[in-house]
Amino acid sequence: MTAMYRCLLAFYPRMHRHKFADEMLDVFVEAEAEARGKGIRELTTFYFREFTGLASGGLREQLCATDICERESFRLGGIMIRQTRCDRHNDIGFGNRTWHDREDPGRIALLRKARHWRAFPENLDMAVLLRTDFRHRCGFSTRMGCWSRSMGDRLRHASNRSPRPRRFRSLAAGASVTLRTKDLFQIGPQIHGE
Amino acid sequence: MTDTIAITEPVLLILLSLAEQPRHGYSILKDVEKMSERRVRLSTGTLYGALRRLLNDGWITRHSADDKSRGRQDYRLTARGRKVLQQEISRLKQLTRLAGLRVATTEQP
Repeated sequence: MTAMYRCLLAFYPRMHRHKFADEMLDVFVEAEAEARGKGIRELTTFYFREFTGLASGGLREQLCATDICERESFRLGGIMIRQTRCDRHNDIGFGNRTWHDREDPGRIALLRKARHWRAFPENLDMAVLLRTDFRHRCGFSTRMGCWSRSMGDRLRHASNRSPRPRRFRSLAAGASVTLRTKDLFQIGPQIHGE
Repeated sequence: MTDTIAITEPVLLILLSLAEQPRHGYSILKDVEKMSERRVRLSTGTLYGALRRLLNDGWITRHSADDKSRGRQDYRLTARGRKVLQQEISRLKQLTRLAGLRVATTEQP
């Protein structure tokens, strides 16, 4: 039954699973053990309640997830960042967004969509945005890597998620802005250095 | 932030459970069952759906439990959650008082 429960959990939105699945499974196992001790009738009732609750809960969460694409803006240095957070998408909160520098309108930044958030290292606490000048080339872009802090304020490159270096050649002269992420989904702005 | 959660009976019972002390998921299930005299028995799907909404609205917070060996998470009522709970209790008191008055009026010959 635990395996079946685990299968049904797959119907929940990814973010819900990421946050609660292990806990839900633990609670289920604990409650199942207790129900088992109270006899077959109690156990049957328990399974019925759990599986119907899980199915309806999964459906409800899926429906809710469509409504919680949260968009918010915040100021980071001279850049106004629009951030999207959505349960249904695979990214960690950055969609393909253009970020306009209000202090220098010539600058514009685009943060690539961070794909495969599950592949990010556990110790992710930094995401670095390199921005470039709009006038450099039409293929302006930015790149984001995963960084972890080591030895004081020095950053060690932990993992580069931009596998196309040619597209980012113009970034060498780009200034960097650091976003500190408390976890994969809650992003708070912090200027680390430009 | 707006108060978006409908305070259904399960949500109210979860908030009441957390008003006393921080609890982990299983403890909330048992406490809700006890408080409602086994009338309300939450499934894990219902419980964690409600907890997710309460967390999103900032009514509760989530912390690693002291019992770290089991990887449990404690849920705690925030000041905002406590305020909402107090408002709801006041509303229910008023409703109960009104209901009592109406029933008493109806019963008069």
